[in-house]
Amino acid sequence: MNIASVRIDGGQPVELTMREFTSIRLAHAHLFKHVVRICDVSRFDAAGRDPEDWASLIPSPPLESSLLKRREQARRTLSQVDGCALGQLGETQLAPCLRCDDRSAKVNVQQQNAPLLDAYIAVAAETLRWSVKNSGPRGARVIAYRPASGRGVRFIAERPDGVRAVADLAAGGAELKLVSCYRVGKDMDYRSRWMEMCREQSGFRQQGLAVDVQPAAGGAHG
Amino acid sequence: MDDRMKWQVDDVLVQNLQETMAAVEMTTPDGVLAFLEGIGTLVSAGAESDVAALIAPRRGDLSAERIEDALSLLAAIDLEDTALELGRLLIALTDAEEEECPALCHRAASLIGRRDRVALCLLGAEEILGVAPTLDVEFESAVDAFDAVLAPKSWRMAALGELRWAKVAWARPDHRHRLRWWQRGAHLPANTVDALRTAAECIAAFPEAREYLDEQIAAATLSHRLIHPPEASAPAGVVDNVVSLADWFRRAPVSMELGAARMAAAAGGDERRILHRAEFSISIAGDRLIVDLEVPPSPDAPHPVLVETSGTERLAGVEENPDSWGFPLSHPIFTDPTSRITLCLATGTIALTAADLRR
Repeated sequence: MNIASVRIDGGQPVELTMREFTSIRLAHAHLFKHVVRICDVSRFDAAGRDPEDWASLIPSPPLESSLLKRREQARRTLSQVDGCALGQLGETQLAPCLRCDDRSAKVNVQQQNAPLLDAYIAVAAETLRWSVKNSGPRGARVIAYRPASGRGVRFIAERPDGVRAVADLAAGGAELKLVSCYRVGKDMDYRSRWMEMCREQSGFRQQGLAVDVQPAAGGAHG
Repeated sequence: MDDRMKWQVDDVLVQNLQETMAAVEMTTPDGVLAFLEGIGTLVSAGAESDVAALIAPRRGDLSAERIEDALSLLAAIDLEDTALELGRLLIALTDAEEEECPALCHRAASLIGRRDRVALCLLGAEEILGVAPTLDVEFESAVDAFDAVLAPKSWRMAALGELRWAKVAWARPDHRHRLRWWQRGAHLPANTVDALRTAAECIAAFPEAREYLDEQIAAATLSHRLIHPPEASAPAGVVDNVVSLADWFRRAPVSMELGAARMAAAAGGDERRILHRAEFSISIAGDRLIVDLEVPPSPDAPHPVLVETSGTERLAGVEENPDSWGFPLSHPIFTDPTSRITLCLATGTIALTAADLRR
């Protein structure tokens, strides 16, 4: 998925793309925590209401709007995958994605959920695209910094409907790898979340870790 | 990655905030809250001079009643539920595998951001009203509950590394205590919890190493108390970026604590006490730096009072009186930005940089 053409720290334009998480295991852990929600509990669960409302974000493949039905469906399909512990959970059980090392189970879960995972990643890609397309006079609406532990750049983008995406770009690369994507409280005002992003990016500037991201001329892929 | 690094007003932050606030309409409580948060942010970011011009045209929309009504809605962001999720997340973070950590860290930071918003809105309200706003009991109890859940688990936030520091580094150093959940231990590296585990494994394998660990804990505790004494929770003023001990000594204020007996003993009567702590005191007499120890020096240290640099340079103090060591301040070692005073005491080692001394 194309994101946008950007200049990083004033360098040559880079055509950013994104098609997957940093690892399959992380992809599954996020899908089953945030979208399918068989790995998390909240006060909304009893009513079967999804606090992140992914049904409104992913039109296809259609997501059951009831969290209870969504879970039931996921358990049914995961139970057909040998080696996936999530598929063995009872009807009312919730558990974290078990960090499995069963390669064959991971591949099977991946294939079984490919359309949903692709749609999930597309929402994250759209969030990053939005942040470049809606750049202000001082650059893209992202937090971008060089993590002390690595040589690449980490991007954090958030759009007005509360979807937040975190992605890593390897040094010299163009393909972002998704680290996380979730929806923050829809009740929070976007201006407030934008001010929080501005503070955080300023904190990285004070540390000398901030990265400047500007849209390259005509580069945003709407 | 600590509060000794150079800090300056960030024009990009100020411009972004001004632009956002200019577009805020005060017709809804959310608009009022956004305005309060913006004012609180600008004050903390060292841009107080810009604040009055932003408030003046909006003054008619900013009555105490309107502000307090808007603040009461902040409780609706449900700090208590956020705290419970955060508590679970921080526990998961401590045991997380490396690839899971970034996602958990960003999620935790986002949740704690709600508490930041409360602090900054309150500061903004105080700036506008000239006094702290009146809060209802429910609001205060939600804030207290959040803080009570977070405080005992905040050490687990060390895993956030530079992200944690970014959440407070934007603020002027003397305003960071308002975001104390980020500030406390912000200098610790992201692998701190791993280091704790390694220490535990080391003690399991070598129980005799516990004594060394205890010494390290005692020294670190003492050093932490010196750098962050209890009264430092409300710092006295803007902290300059002091580049060397020599610079700091030139600027150091005259202390009123100087005892009459010592004053009489000081040649020329011009001794200035710079810092006084239970374990030691530091004074300047003419061109001499004097370190008086209040606890015995370490019996194992050939030179219990030293000035060192991050390189190999060292200058041992001369014992001029019992428990009193002197240095010539004109020595070039003091102009090295990395110079520090090292005290090897029976209770542990203390290292003091110019930045440590400022408090």
